[in-house]
Amino acid sequence: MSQSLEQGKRKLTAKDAITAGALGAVCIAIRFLFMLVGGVSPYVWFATHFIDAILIGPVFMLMVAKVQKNGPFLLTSLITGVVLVAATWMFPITGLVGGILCELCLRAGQFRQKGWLMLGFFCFNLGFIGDFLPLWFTKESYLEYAAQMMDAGYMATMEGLLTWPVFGVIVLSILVGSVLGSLLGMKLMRKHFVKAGLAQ
Amino acid sequence: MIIFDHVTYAYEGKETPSLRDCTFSVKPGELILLTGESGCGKTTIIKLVNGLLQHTGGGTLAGTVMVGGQDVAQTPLWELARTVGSVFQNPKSQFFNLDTTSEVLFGLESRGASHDEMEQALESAVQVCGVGPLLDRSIFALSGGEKQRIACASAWAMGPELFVLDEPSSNLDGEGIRQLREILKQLKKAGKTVLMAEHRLWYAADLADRVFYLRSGQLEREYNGKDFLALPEEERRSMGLRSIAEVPVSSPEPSPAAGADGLMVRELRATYNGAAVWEGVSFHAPRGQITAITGQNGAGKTTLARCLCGLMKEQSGTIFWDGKPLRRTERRRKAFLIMQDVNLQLFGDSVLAETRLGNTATEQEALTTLGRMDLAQYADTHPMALSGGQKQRLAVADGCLSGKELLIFDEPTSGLDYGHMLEVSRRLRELAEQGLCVVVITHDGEFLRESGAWTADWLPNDKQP
Amino acid sequence: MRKNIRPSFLDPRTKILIWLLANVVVFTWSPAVFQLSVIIAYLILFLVERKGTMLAGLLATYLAILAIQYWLLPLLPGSLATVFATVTYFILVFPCIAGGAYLIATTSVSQFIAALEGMGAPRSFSITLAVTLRFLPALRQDLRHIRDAMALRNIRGFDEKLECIYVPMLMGAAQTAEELSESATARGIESPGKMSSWRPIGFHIQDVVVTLLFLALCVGGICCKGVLP
Repeated sequence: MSQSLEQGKRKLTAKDAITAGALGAVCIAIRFLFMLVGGVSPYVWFATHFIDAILIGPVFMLMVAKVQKNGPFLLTSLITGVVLVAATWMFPITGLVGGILCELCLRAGQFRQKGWLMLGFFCFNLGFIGDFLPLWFTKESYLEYAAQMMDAGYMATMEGLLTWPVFGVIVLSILVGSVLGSLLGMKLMRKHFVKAGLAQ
Repeated sequence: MIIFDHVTYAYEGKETPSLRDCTFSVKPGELILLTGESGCGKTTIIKLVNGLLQHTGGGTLAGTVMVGGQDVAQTPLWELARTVGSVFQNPKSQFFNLDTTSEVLFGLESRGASHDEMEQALESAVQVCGVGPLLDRSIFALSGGEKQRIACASAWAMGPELFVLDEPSSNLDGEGIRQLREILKQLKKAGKTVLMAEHRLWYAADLADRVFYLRSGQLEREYNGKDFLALPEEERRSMGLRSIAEVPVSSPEPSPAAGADGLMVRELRATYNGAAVWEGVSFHAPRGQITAITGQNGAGKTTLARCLCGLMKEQSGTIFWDGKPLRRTERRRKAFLIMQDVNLQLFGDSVLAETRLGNTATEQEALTTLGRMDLAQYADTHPMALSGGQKQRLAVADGCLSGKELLIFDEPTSGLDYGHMLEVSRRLRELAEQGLCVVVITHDGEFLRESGAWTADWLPNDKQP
Repeated sequence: MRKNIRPSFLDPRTKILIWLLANVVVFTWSPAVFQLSVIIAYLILFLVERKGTMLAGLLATYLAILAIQYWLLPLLPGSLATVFATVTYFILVFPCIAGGAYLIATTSVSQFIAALEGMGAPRSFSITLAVTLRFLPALRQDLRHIRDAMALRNIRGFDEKLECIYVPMLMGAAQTAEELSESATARGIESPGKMSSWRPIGFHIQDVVVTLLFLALCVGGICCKGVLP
């Protein structure tokens, strides 16, 4: 039978790593695209994670179904953080934490139970919140440096938005987005991926 | 070198085995050609020899496969890699690295070889596979044939005694296939054992020591190389095999009647990244006729196809349809393109849904067309679950049902066996007879002959190969 | 026919280290003079490795963004200006981008993996990273093909369009991953033991010199923070 079965089901095979790499590339592409779009206005920027979460749902579900082991999400989260670290140094850190939490959720649900999958996906998406953290945690220095580039109108809107309740709304939006994304993911899984024999 | 002992293999989730009670042996230094219709089990044998099915497959295996004295099921893949070198069908997806030299040495680097070992292997690969001029370049810049040569070099560099190739010529044009043939000759000269699965027999049949003919998963007949070459035409056709001799890409038909119907191209010029891809292109593809675009330069032909469909804007020149010039956006509405890589143009979640996407065909019409393409039984299957050849036929069916008048097919027969190639040529002839304008980009000489296509003299004379 | 291997100037691990240091220079909002020095240092490194075209490309982009920031922005009305503001963000993190580009352009995949394994990273991490980087350009090509195909069919509705872009792309990625892993495993990527690299890796005097230089810029930047603009 398959090599990985003999050595214990936990070990990531090269095929798993490559699948994680390929689907991870799709994740990064989507996130990066919306990061650029986010520059238009603070409202848009804060909404991008919501959109990301919805779009990445199918990718996440496919990865879970194909690999069925711990590892790929941590890897993808970490790598996304590393590749996009130019945006903020917080990325690899939140990526690491988000990835670990995600893996724990998945393992709890044995890679199958929908509730745990959704929760895991939420953690995975939270792992990307690194680009917002400096705004809230180091508010003054961020405002100072941003004032050099952005115009007064943008700054005024931004200042008004950098409150903790708004942060809460963002986290909530990521949660809602994750749920929607999971649903979208599961729908596409049924409709296409499973039918095509790509995964179970 | 290879021993198959009563091997039966069924893929995961499939009830009927793809290979049944297969027994044969291959001596060192032999070149064996595996052939048969689509789905006969050729690829299954290849993947059992290089161990992919036993170790990453998940299906059920009965019987033993021994390679170089080792039981494949018991030997880890990375160890098998020292005995068996593999070359796959699709040049695009075999590459791990971004530059050619690293790709050639990939196997050696994986096993931690020393620098001297790598240097020797590189020298040797350059000599045997002729990849010298290709080294130290970006993989994305290579043509299909060049990529396959790198893949062969990569397999060679690991120094295995046995090479397995799974339809390596599938995505190659004439030049690429010739280069592949040279490498096969070198492999033979070096005394290596070669096992190849192929539809296209003409470039390898005379090199084969033995030919195995498979049908429905069973090894039906075994031929001595010479006997196979001597097979009469009708017998070869009844076995569903492609021509054994090379059919040259030429046009025996006389030039079409002068007239302005259908597609007419005058003095077309296209550029890519600032450099001209081609210029001075002029030809006439009338309605009611299959016009073939041939030529060595793969990139040039696909660019032409995209330009004709309105997916790309031409730099200068005019494209006429039924006598009137046609702008880019209008061309998009008039034309349909079946691409080389059909995977990216199949969208529906079932074959039937796919054929009815974006057009006005009724269910009955769609089913009839599918029936003609031998796909009716797959109406509810997901397009991506089909085999490569089936997907190609599905894309052709899409074209037939699109209701558009200008149909362009880019290599529609590249992976097809004889029977299916005939089907495609019949469908195209039907379309032409209905008064549509059919343009085919191909290097498949046998297909050209069967379909009665007329080869367009599209490149200006000084650019002809 | 001997191929002259030009050994890489710096070990990949050094490149990673100086990139991290460049990141620190940027994110501690060091004075402009230090950020500029980092950029100049990278430009010199590019020259040393004879990557002239890439150097020219980066310089052109940098100057273009500078032009937008100082000439175009003040001319635009407020809302339009914020759109371009994203672009100006790149100026601030330009040292990081230059560093990343340098790392990718001058290190081969196997060098990178060998270096990572030298630092103790598990092979699955290096494989995933390498494959991710290899896939990104391929995804762009695929997207173009899909959009071409969609343009020729009448696909109506936002839902439909999204599905039509997304599904083939994901399936294409999964399929390519499948074929790629076949090719890689058949060549022994799962070999136990460390991966070696054709282009040699190893530390030399230039690694020490360049690291010290970047370290100096880093420390200097932090110390001179209040002092210089």
